[in-house]
Amino acid sequence: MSGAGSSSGKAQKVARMAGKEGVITDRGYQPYSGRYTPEASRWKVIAARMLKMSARQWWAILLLIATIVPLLISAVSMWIMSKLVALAPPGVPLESPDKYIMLPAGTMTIAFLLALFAGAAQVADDARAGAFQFYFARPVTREQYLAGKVVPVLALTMFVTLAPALLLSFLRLALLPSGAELLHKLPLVGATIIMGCVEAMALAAPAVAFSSLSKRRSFVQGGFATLYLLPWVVGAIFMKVSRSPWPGVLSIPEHLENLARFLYRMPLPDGQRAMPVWVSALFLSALVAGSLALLRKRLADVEVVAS
Amino acid sequence: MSETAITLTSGAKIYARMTWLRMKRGRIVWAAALLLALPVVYVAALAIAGHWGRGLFDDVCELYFRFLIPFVPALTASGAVAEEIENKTFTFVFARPAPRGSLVLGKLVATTLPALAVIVPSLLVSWLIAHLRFPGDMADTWPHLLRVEFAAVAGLMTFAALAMVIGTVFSRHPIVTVLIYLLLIEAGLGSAPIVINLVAISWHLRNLAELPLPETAFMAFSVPWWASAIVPLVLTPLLTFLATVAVNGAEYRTDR
Amino acid sequence: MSGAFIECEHSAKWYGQIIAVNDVSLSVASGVTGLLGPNGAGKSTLLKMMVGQLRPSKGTVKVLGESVWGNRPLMRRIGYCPEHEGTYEDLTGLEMVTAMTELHGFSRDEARARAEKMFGMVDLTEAMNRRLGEYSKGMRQRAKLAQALAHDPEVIFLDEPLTGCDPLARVRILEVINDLAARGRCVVVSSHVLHEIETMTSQILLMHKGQLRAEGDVHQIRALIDAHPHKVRVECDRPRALAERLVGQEHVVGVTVDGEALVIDTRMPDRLYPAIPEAARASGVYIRALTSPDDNMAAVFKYLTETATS
Repeated sequence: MSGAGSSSGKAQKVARMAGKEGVITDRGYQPYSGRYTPEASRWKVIAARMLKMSARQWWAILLLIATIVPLLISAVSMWIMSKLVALAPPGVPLESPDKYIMLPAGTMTIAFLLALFAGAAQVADDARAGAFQFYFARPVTREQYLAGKVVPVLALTMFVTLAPALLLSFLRLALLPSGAELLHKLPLVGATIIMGCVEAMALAAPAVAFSSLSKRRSFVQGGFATLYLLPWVVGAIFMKVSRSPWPGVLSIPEHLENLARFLYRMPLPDGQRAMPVWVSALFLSALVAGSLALLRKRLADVEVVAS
Repeated sequence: MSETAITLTSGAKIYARMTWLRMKRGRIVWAAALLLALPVVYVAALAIAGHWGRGLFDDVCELYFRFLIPFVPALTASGAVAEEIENKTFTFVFARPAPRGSLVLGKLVATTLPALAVIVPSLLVSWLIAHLRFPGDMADTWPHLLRVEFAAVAGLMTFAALAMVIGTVFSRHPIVTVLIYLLLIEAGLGSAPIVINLVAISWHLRNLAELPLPETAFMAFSVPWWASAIVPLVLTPLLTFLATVAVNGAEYRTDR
Repeated sequence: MSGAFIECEHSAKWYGQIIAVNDVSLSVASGVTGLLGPNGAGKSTLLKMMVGQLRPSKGTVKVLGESVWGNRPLMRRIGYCPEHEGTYEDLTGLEMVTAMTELHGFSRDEARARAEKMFGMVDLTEAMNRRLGEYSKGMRQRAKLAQALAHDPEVIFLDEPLTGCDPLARVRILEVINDLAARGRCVVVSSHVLHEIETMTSQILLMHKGQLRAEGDVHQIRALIDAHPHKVRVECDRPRALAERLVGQEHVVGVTVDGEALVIDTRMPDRLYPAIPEAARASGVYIRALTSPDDNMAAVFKYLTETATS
């Protein structure tokens, strides 16, 4: 009762004040009292949307389907090579069938194209369409936005770099004649998982980082294609001329191959020399870290302005 | 009032000037020029390392014919018409009495001429550097230089026309579509050890420039250099015409 | 040519299963004509068919008596200001308008002189040497108008020309449009903002869901809408007395007293208007004002689009 009395007194006070200074009207605003999703999981909303959008595009579907071609070629080649190895008398030099799991032919090119298609659009399209104001007018941090943009490209790329290689490694294990050999070759699966993840990161992160550098998709795609192809071609030509591995020091595919050879314990072809594996590991780590740092810096600098 | 009929060439001139002005103010022209001049740095480095002569020049030509000549037009020409569609500026230009083909021609000229202006002298400089140690060899290799220069000019124009037509048809992702063509046909089939490698333009350019060809283990037959010269000479106008037809008949929407 | 600057006969445009413009027949004479319709009504598609950027899927679209699609010489007589904001951001306003005018066949000097004159006309002389990328929305809109008019076309199509303009720019653009109409040009202005069109013209083409719902003078169109009785609002000292006099008359459908005003619904406004002063005199009522609250563009738009929706 006392509460009622006090509230009525309060109402009178409010009414007196209203008489003096105008009417106070309760519009019935009620803040949302339900539960909010954890802040840390908001990047998932962006990532899920971007992944859905990218996966619906004809080029994504086409490239993902195209992955079957290298998978089939590598599977058939590996099966034939396994049979040959099993039939060949000891001492006959034959290539290990493991080489078909190590960066299956063509998958790196498909993964590069996928990263180019999906990655180049991520930030550039938002910048061009003025979509930053939609994201940053909400309690979404730059880091959450960054994760939301990188993860879908990574997921798509990883589908190409990991799934075929993993299937091939299982096939390789299934083709082994004995349990002892199977146990011996089991690390192949681990190497495949590591390599698939590293390859996807090395392609997805710079592709998205490039997309933060310009509003124009063609600039972004041109820039990333140059970064990937130029050092590769230049490196390949001058490695042949100079018979040294160092002209390929800026080439992403060269380092990926070098790392893969190390992980799969594949010997180099005769007469070829490779860079120390720590150089490749350092280069690839610096590439991914540098790309993410660049992306973070570009996003931190974003001011939402009307165009 | 001095209003005259606007022709394909007069329209192309206006578009070329506009495109050049825009490219000059953007970054892509400088990036492309830098790329095209890059082999000079390499040839100098290799000359210092003790390489010389026609062998060195041919090694540097590999960089031009395997990469720069197909790739630079993919950067500059593929998006020329596509960017008009992406930015919706085609609505301004297609509301004019100038033939739509002049847009294609103008953009082709604006993107190809600066590239030629860099590539021709940089090949010459590379050749000079490669022969610095034994200048006497120049007398023997200058016809080779001429063939290389001719192949480079023809190749650049052909790849620019090709990039233009692909970029016009696949206007949403012009660069990537051209890259898919380059990786599949030029790099893939072009270096295949079977007779199918003849479908690659770059194979004919190398043949024309007297550069080493990929070994053909199956159904190999030799193609005379003049036959390879016909390929770019026929393809360039044909592809330009196709790009013009593609633009002429196209309806572009601005609501997506 | 039958005196009409623009003629469409059973024109339609579809994209796959989507019909953007559906069997539109119309003719437009000189002066300003407003192309009205809600978002997605098909206004921009119809305009693009009229300027030859889209080919009709069916029917014909003629401007100045000639079919538009693929008709290059006709483009010389047409000016088009598109709706979107895209411009050549790396060029200055003057460079862009000069180049666009050159594409009509003018020499560079002549094109530049015309471009400068146009920038003066749209009050943008000070900014004409700045890059288009630095322009505000309203400045871009005026630069786009300048490129549409620099070659002095006979038929001008303006797609949402006032979008993003500040009040001063709006006034300037409206002056330019009215001046063009006064000089005998045919100007088609598309908009979904009714009062913008109302300040320019009473001639309208009203589109909804791809169809042309009405064509002509807005007041005449209003008179033809039978489904909704006309409303006449009489502000007077004794509305009830006036209501008593009028309610029995056959042309009055209903009356409503709204404070010191009487709102009369009628299907025969021509007969009602002379009857009001007579009734007022007979009942001794003093009339202060007589208005028709739904004889305007907004009401016509509402009625026609509501009919289409229902």
